Amino acid sequence: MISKKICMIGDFSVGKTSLIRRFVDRQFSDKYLSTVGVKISRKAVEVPGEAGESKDLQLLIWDIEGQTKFKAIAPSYLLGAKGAIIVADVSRPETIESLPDHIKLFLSVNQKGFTIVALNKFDLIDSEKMEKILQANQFKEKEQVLGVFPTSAKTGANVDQIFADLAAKMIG
Amino acid sequence: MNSNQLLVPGHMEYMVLDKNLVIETTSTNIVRFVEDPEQVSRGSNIVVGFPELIGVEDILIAVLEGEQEDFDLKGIARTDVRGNNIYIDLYFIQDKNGEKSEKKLILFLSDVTERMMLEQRLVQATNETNILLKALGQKQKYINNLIASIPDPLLVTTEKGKIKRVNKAAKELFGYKEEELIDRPISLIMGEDNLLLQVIQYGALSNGGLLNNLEVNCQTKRGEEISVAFSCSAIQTEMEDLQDLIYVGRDITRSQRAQQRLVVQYTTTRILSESATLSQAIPKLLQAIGESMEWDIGEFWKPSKGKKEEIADNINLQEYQGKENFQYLRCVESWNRPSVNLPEFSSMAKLITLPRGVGLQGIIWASCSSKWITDVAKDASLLRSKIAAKEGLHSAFGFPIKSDGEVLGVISFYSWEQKEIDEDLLQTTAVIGSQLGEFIKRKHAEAALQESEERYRDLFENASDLIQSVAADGRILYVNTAWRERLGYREEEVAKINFFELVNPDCKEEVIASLKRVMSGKQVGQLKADLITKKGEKISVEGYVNCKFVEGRPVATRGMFRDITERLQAEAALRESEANLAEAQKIAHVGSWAFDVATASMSWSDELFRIYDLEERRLAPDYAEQLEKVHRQDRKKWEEMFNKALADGEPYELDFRIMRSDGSIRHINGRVEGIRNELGEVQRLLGTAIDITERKQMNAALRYQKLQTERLLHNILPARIAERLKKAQSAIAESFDNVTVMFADIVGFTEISARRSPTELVEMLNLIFSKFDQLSELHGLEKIKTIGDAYMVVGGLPVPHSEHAEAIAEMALDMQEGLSEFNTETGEALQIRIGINSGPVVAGVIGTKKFIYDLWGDTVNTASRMESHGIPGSIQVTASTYDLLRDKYHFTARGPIYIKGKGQMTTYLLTGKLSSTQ
Repeated sequence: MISKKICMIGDFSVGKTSLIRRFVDRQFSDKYLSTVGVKISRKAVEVPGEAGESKDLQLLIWDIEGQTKFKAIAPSYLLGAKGAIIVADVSRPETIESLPDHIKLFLSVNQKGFTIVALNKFDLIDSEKMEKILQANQFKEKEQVLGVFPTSAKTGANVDQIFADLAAKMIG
Repeated sequence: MNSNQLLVPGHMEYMVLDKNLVIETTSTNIVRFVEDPEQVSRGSNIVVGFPELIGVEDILIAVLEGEQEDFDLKGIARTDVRGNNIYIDLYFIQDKNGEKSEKKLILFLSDVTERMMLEQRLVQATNETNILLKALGQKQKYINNLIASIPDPLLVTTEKGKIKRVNKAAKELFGYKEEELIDRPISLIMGEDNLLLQVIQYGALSNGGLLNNLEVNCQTKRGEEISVAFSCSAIQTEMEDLQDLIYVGRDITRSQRAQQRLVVQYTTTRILSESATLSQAIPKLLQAIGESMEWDIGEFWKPSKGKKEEIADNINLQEYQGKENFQYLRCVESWNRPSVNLPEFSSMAKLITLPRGVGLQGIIWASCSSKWITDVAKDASLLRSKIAAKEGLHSAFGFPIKSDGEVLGVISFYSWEQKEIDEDLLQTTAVIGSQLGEFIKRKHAEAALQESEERYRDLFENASDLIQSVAADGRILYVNTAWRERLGYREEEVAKINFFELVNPDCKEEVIASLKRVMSGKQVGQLKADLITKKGEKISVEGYVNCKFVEGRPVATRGMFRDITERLQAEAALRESEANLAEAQKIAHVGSWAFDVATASMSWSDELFRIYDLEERRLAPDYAEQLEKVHRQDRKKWEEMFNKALADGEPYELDFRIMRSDGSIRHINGRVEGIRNELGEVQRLLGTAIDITERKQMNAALRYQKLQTERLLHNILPARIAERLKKAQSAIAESFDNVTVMFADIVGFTEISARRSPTELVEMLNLIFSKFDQLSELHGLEKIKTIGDAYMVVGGLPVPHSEHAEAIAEMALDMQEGLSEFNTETGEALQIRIGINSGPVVAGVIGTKKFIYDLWGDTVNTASRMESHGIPGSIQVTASTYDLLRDKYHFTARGPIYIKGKGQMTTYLLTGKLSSTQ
């Protein structure tokens, strides 16, 4: 089975670990536990191929310590990754503002990589706000940004979607 | 152990990898970093145990080849063989020892769990704090925005009343800057002895209490008094047992003042309507305005013409020396609050007189407009300013009582307080001033009216018409004797009743509106009204109303009415009888019209409108239009009738048609007769019109019925016979010397009847016989009857004619052809057998019920035999027929044959017509 490395990148406490937990273990906890260093999780997924058949793919998901004011993300963690999920917390505007930097960092390490933006915790804000945030953050000009999704590790909304989309693109 | 064993510190392990990244050697305890010892056994690829290296294989090779110095991955979290969470740093370098043989890669693994655990706690704490601070900041910002955006003034104080926070609205309302309020006591704006602060000090807000809309008089920085309704509640501070107080206010000064002004306006109107004279109204007004607008002294100053000696000594008389009709203001009425005692100020008012432009009142008089003085004590130009200062008066204002630009008086008020100019109040009082002016004018006018009417009273009193004079509000100013007698009121009662209440509710609105129009100077035609007498009886009056002007202004309406109750009753009776007539005309469908010769005017009865379908019209059509309504073909006759009647006045009658506008035609029986005057000239034409359309239609239907019957009869009997039968009810029999009789029988019908239903057979037969009927009509023959499938027809009957044999011969040939056509169309193979004979017959109808015209005689029997003894498809004729036709037709002799009942007969077969050339 082919294995591909993808990274979770974002500011601290945006829900990177929770998204992985939801995707891999189908679980969620409200308790905040900050990640230090890096931890990889594995999950086999089926990706639809060109001729309708499906391919098995093992995702090696790198849960990377979130960026803080004091500590930047180590580029060495990003080496060899084919894709990244860039995560922000919709209830904290500053985490959304960091998105372009994260995307830039990832693409500088992996020129041919793909990213997907997860606007996480969208269950916490009203839909009008979410609509506005989505309109303001489309990254349409960046080809390597596959899409922007409101996600919720708590409800599971769009979680499988972002991983599936990214996996499909990496195989293609 | 291998001699190549490396020496490493205790928290570290190592692995040596070949150029395929396959494990060659490891340190002893390497297994503690993996979940499964197998993953790091010799010969395994490194990524089996360390999937973290997937994707960076190229970099590892680069290190092995010496192209890159080293590579590390730090802080990798994993689960060890015992299931514990551990953190490892990975560090790759080239194996310099392996240079001689093969290039190797060394991986150092170092257990950093302890350090990472510590770091995790640190990061966790930092991040949590960070998030909390951010959230707090946002909340605070939100609350600040909230407070700032509240449109009502808001103040936060400590429990002791020290101001901690104010919002923009509060600063604007009270006129202070923020720094002028912060840390100052709240009593700065609301004084200390107000109910709100007392209630709060009493502990009304402890335990979550809330005070709602308590009105407090506050003071702005500029000293203005404003009314604020405060809602107040306590919030817990971070210190236990210590509360902050939040005041949210609403400025109700404006609404309070507006309410006061409304009250004043309302009160003024009420006082004026209740007062008979100005001297009655003024004291009440001064009190009402003073009390509701919170002023302490009110005065009414009136212009007077005066002699010099009456003028008080406060005026420099030199100025007015020699001037005639010198006018000045004198205070004729004053009011003060019971609690106010200003002996000097008030008594002085009675003493002084003010010429134009002097003093507050004089200025108002001269300028003809309101005036406000914030502090009279400081205005030395005012006569009483010193006394005002002494007795503590400050603000004053006044307004003129004016009408048409003339000042009839001045009202002024004084207050102990110093009040800022209140434009709204000035506006309100200006309106009151005008209202008062109107009131005074009206009173003058009414008085003048009463006086002038005294003079005409005698005249009015003895008039038989009802005469009245009514004020704008309905008060009765005067009524005459006839009026009182008819309405049933005594003289002393009249003053107490309102005219409008006497008007019957049905027409009340209209009457009031008419009187108003009159008062506003407009012309109103004859006015009709129903009045209710004292006894409750309804009377109708009719008359004219005009407006009584005094000094150019309307003061009352004057009406002269005639009692038309009886006339109306008579009219109603007349209308009733007219209605009866109209009803009668309607039932009889008789309409009538009248034409007045002198005026050439035409009038119609209701029913005539109905007959012409012009009910929506009220005016009768004129002569020309009436003529036009007559049907085109009848117009001339109608015109003749009309003109004849006009000329000689004799009665004429004519049935004609009219065209209604919807295009329908009505038949009319019209009569007209002239009415002469005493000179014998035709003065009027009276006409009637009866709609006889239905009758006509009935007649037509009857005629049609008759015609139908006749047609039926002719179908059965020859027309001539039918005519005779109609005339004579007895049996008819007639003998004819020379006719030709033909019998035709359809051969093969019996055979068909076996395979066709009777209905189909009848249909077929009907088809064939109908064709024969057409042929007999074509040849001028008389069909006698059909007997089963046989057809009997005769020529030369009932009207004799010479060519009867030829006609029958033609018929026979045509019948043959017709049948062959029928065969072609239907696929049947029918044949016809025809027998013909000529000779005398008797024809007639026997019986009275079922009329059948039939033939009798030997000629008929022989003809029948010719057929029955004939040959299918051929025409057999007797010698007598042959003799008649031999020159015109082909025949073949059949020779003598035996005929039943006849014996041997020579017969011929008719085969065709000779061509005309032969």
